[in-house]
Amino acid sequence: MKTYLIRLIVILVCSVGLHSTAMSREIVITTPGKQAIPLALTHVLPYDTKHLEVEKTVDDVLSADLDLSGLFELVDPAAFLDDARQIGVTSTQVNFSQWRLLGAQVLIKGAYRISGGQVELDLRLYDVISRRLLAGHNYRGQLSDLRRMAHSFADLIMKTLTGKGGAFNTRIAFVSDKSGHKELYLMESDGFDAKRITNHRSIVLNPDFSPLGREVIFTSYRQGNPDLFRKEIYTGREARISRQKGLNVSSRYRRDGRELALTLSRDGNAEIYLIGLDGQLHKRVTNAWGIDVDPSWSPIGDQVVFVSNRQGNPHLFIADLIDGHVRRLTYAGKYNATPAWSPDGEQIVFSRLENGSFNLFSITPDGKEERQLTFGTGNKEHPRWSPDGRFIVYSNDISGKKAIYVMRADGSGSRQISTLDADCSHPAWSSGW
Amino acid sequence: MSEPVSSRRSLSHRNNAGIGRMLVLSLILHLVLFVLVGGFLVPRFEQPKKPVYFVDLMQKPVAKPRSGRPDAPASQKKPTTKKKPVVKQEPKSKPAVKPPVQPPATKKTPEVVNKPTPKAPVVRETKPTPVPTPTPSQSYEDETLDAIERLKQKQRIAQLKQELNDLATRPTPATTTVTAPVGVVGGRGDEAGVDFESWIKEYLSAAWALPSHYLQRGLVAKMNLQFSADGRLTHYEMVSPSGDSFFDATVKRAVRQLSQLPNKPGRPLELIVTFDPKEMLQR
Repeated sequence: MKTYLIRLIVILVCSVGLHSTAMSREIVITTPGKQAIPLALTHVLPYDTKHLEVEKTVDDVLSADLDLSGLFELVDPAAFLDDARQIGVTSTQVNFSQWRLLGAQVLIKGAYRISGGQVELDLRLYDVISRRLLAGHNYRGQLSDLRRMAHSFADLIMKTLTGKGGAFNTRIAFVSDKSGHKELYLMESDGFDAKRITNHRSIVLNPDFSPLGREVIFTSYRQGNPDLFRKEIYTGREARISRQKGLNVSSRYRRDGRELALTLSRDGNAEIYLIGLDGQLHKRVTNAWGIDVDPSWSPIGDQVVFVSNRQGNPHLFIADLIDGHVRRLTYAGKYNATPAWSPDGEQIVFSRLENGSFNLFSITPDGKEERQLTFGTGNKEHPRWSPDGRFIVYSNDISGKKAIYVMRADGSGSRQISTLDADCSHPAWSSGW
Repeated sequence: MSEPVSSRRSLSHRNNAGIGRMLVLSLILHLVLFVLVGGFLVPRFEQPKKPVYFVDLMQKPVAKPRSGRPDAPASQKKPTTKKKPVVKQEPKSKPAVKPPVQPPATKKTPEVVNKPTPKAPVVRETKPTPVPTPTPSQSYEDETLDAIERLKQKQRIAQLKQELNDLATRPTPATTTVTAPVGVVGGRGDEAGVDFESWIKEYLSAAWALPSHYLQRGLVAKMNLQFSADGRLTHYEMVSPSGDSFFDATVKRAVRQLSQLPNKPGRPLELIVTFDPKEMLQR
C-alpha cells in the first residue's frame, strides 16, 4: 500500500513539474519581420546558343506576374553572385548558400534551347532555406508561345506556394473603339497582345466568358436592337442567341455554363431573367416597377446580385432563385452599380458614385462589412474578378481616356494594363486560355 | 467469551482498515486537487507578468543572463576594457584643455602681475635708502599678492569652464555603460547577453516573411521546436496549423532558418511558438 502511495505521489509531482515547465516555454510571435517573401529571379540561361529576346521575355513576364501577386519582394539582380550565371535545373547544381546570403527564401532558375523554331524551356522553383526543388516544368512549343509558358509557370508558383493556382495564363476581353466602332478585343492577363475579335461596326457591350473560356457572350447593336451574341473564340463562329424586343444586355454565365442571367425589357420594363444557351426563356427573376440590371451569379448559382432603383436610388439587391425572395444589400451611397460576386463567394465588388466620380467598393453578401477599394478622381467602373479571386480588373478614365486597370482584391497594387490608344472598358476575365 | 472478543478485534481491525483507505483516498483527492490548481491555474497568472521588450540580435543568448537591458549597445560587452579607455581619455583631455588655456594666456598679458614685481624691486631699491618707511612697502606687497591671487583664481575658473565645455561636447557612451549593462529585465545570472527564449522570439520574428494581405485573415499557427544541448534544431513540427497552406509554409520557412543557435544552451530546449500576426492587424 505504501509503495503504491509513494509511486502515486512521485507521478503526480512529476506531472506537475512537467506541466509547469511546458507552459512556461511558450512564446508568441506577433510581428512578421518582412511583409513579402524575398524571391530571387534569375535570367534563364541558354543550353547552347544565346537568345537575348527569350531571356528578356521570360524575365519580363515572370517579374510582372510575381510583382502583381503582392506575395514577393524581388531580390535586386545587381546583388547576384556567380551562381546566377550557372544553369541550375537540379538542386545539386545550385549553390544555395549564395542565395541565402542575399536573403532570398525562394529562387527561380531556368534554361532554354531553341532548335528549328521550337523552344524548350526548363523552369525551376527552389526553396533556398530547405535547399530543395519545390516545382519545375519542361515547356516545349513555338517561340510565339513563350509568354504563355512564363505565365503558366507563374501560375505553378502560386499553386505550389499557396495551394491555389494563379490566373496569369488567362485572357481578358474588353470593349474598345480603337477601330472607330466599339468592338470586342482580347488580350493577355498582363495587357500584352490585344487583338480585335469582332467586326460589327456598331456598338458591342458587356462581354462575359464561358466557364471554360472558349466562348464569349456579348450584346451588339449590329442589327439595330441590343441583341445577345455568342462567339466561339477559336473558330470565330458567332450566333445571335437572344433577340427579344428591347434590351438583351448584361448577360452572365452561371458557373456550370448551362444558363445565363441577363436583363430583358420585353415587357417594357428592364427585369432580370434566366435563359438557356439557345436563348429560350427559363425564368423571370424580378418583377418590380423599377429598372433591374447587371446581374451577377453567386458561386453556387442559387442567388443573383443585381442593381435596382425600386426603392429610389440605384442600389444592390440579392434575389434568391429558389424561394424568389429579394433583399436589399446596400444602403450607403446614392448610386451603386455593376456588382460582381467573387469566385469564393465572400465578397461582392461594385462601383459607387461619390463626389462626382465612381470608385470601387466591396461588401460581404450579408451586407455587414463594406470597404472602399479605390480612391481619388477618375471613374473606376465595371469591376470583374480574376478566376482565382486574387485580382480585380476594371476600367478607369483618370488619364482622360478609359483604360483597363488591374489591382489586388484588397485594392493595392493597381496598374494600367491596356496599351491601346483608345477608350477601353467593360473588361471580363477568362478562367483559362 | 473469547469468541466475542476476537470478533470485536476483527471488527475493529476492519474499522481501522476502512479509515486508512479513506485517508489514502482523501490524500489522493487532495493531490489531484493540488495538481489541478498548481498545474492549470498558476501558469495562467504567470503569463501576463512576462515583460515585453525588444532583443538586439547582436547580443548572443546565454544560459544565465544578468540583469540589464537586452537592447543595450553591443560595445558594452567588455566593460573592463572600456573603462580603461575612459581613464586614458583623461590625460588626453588634459592636453586638449591646455590649448584652450591659451586664451587665459592672452590674459596673462595682464601678467602685468609680473609687472608690479619688477616694479617692486625697483621701489625696494629706491626705498631701502629711506629705511624707516617699511610699512607702505608691506601694504603694497600685500596688494600685489592679492592681485596675483585673484588673477590665479580667474585663470582657474576659466580653466574649469573650459574643462566643463570639453566634457559636455564629448560623446557619452561611457555613461550608458554604467547604467544599462547587457542583460535581461529581471535577470539573475552573471553573463552578458539575453535569455534564449527572447533571442529565439526576436530571431523568428525577423525571419518570418508574411505578405500584408495575409494579415487580415485571423490565421494562427503553432510550432513545436526542440533544440539539443549544443543548440542544434533537432526537431520541429506544426502542432496546430492555421488551415492556410501558404501561411503555414511561411512559418515553417522562418523556423527552418533557425537551424543552429549562436550559443550552446547547455541543456535541451523545447518551445511552443505561436505565430499570430494580430499586432500587425492592430496597426
